[in-house]
Amino acid sequence: MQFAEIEICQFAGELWEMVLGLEIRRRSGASAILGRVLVGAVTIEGAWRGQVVFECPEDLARLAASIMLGERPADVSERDASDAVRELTNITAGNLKSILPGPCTLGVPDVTAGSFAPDEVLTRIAFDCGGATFAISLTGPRPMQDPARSM
Amino acid sequence: MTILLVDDSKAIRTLVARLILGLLPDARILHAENVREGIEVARASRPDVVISDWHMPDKNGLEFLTALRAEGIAVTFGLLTSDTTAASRSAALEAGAVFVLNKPFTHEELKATLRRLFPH
Repeated sequence: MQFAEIEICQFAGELWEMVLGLEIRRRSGASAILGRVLVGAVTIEGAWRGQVVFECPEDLARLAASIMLGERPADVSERDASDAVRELTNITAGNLKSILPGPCTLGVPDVTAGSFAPDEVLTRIAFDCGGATFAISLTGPRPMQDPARSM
Repeated sequence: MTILLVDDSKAIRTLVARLILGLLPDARILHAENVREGIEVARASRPDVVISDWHMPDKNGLEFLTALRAEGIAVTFGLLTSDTTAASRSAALEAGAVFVLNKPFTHEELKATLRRLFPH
């Protein structure tokens, strides 16, 4: 089992339901993300050092932004799609920080277009949202202990 | 009722503004995307309420609250954050924040918070 699998699935499910009203489910098998991908990343520094990475196809990012902004997906700008990915990455990282060894601090989220090819993937979980695949990853060293929820 | 939303995410500001206007249709919503801009808007418009993100590129929400207090801007202040420990939550409440709401929050959680602040 990968580190914090259960917690990542729980946090992601809550986030997508609460903020976007969208249901997601964990994907098994192939988890390639098709099309143009926006990659959100937040660095965590402190007792544990690593990154939380959110890989999101652009069409899904536009859908998320459209829900948050109350606009049609076709009317969402690239900047607004990136903003939605940045915020979803930030919230995901903030929640995951609570199960990582502390004290830690979060960096400022960054969003780039492209692929994700890290050196040290601790956990990567792919999800399905209405037929689109996205993924959440933790990169960095495996903590000495399993996640301890402090929430 | 004037409410200032301060968050570097336009998406979150828009989402929160929509929820507020659903509950308080006559509210005047102001936006700022960082603490510096938030202080300028607060100076100029003297909002009744400020709802701020915790983590922003220039300063954090607690520093924002401290800066408002230092300027003598007495405002009902609440924080939205995905990253809070018990210690930071206590620090915010001790500094005068009236609520610290964890992201993600449900629409009902935000509405319940607003109803507590504005019962009428």
